Amino acid sequence: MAESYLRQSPLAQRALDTRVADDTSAAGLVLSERRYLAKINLRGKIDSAAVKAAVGVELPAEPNTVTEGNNIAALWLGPAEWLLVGPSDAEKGMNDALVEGLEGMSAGIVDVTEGRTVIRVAGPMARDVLSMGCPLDLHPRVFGAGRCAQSFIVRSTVIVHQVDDAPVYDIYVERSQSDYLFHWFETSGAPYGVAVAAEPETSSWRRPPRRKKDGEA
Amino acid sequence: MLLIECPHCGPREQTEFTCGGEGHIVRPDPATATDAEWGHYLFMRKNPKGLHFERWFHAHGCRQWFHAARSTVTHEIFAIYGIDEPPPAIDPSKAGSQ
Repeated sequence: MAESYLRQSPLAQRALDTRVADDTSAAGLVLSERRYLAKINLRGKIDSAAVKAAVGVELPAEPNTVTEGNNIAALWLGPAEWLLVGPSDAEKGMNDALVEGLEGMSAGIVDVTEGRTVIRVAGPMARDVLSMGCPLDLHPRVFGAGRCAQSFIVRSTVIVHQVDDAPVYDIYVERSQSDYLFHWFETSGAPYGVAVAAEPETSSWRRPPRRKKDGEA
Repeated sequence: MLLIECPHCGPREQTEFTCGGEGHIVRPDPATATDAEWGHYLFMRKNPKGLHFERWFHAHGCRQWFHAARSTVTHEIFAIYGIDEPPPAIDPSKAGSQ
């Protein structure tokens, strides 16, 4: 990790902080950015209990679902691939905890924090606007809170995670495509009214207490 | 537009997938294969009207390969099965084969 690295959100030039609306209740589509969420890509034959002990969240067994832990979430990406998402600045601690906790297992642990940013899409028209550009079946009977899927929205590769039945979606988009996607949300939501909300607060992640190994004092 | 049932993710739109062409092609041993056998393995592909066993890749989803038995006449998909599984028995006349 380079010490001199200037961290900047890929949506920084949109100055979303200056556009935060006091009242978003009239808007059909409410957008916000969740910046710098810690993201660890985990691959391999991995014991879910070891992950739980290391970072405090179990891996989802069912495809395209999300398990939540103490300020950390695990998204199913493939039969042997998951994305662990924690609050900003937790990536180093999560990475270290996983490297230690999964020792001896055939696992790939990659910090992909800077690769994507997250656009939170909420508001009463969120599902309708999303459906205009995304081939997923987002009907509540198929896709509800706690589900995630990899797909694309107007040709941008994304991970869609439905956070709440309201509906609220977190869209994980690659940083080079995030400005395009944000622009698309703004123009597609315009007929219903678009508002920018403040970045949702996140609580800090704490590493679970370590279990002492045999023979350790 | 096809709706393809990914073995992991369920039904998804065709645009999420990439077709990998004919399935179940066996690679001959390069040490013993003749030029004709090797050429056949590299270049020759079936192009049936009707039942076709092919590989598909869920490129924009779980990034896993799988097999599909599809009719090239009607686009109907008769079976979806694992990348390491043998082709299932399907009556070719049902798929419009001649």
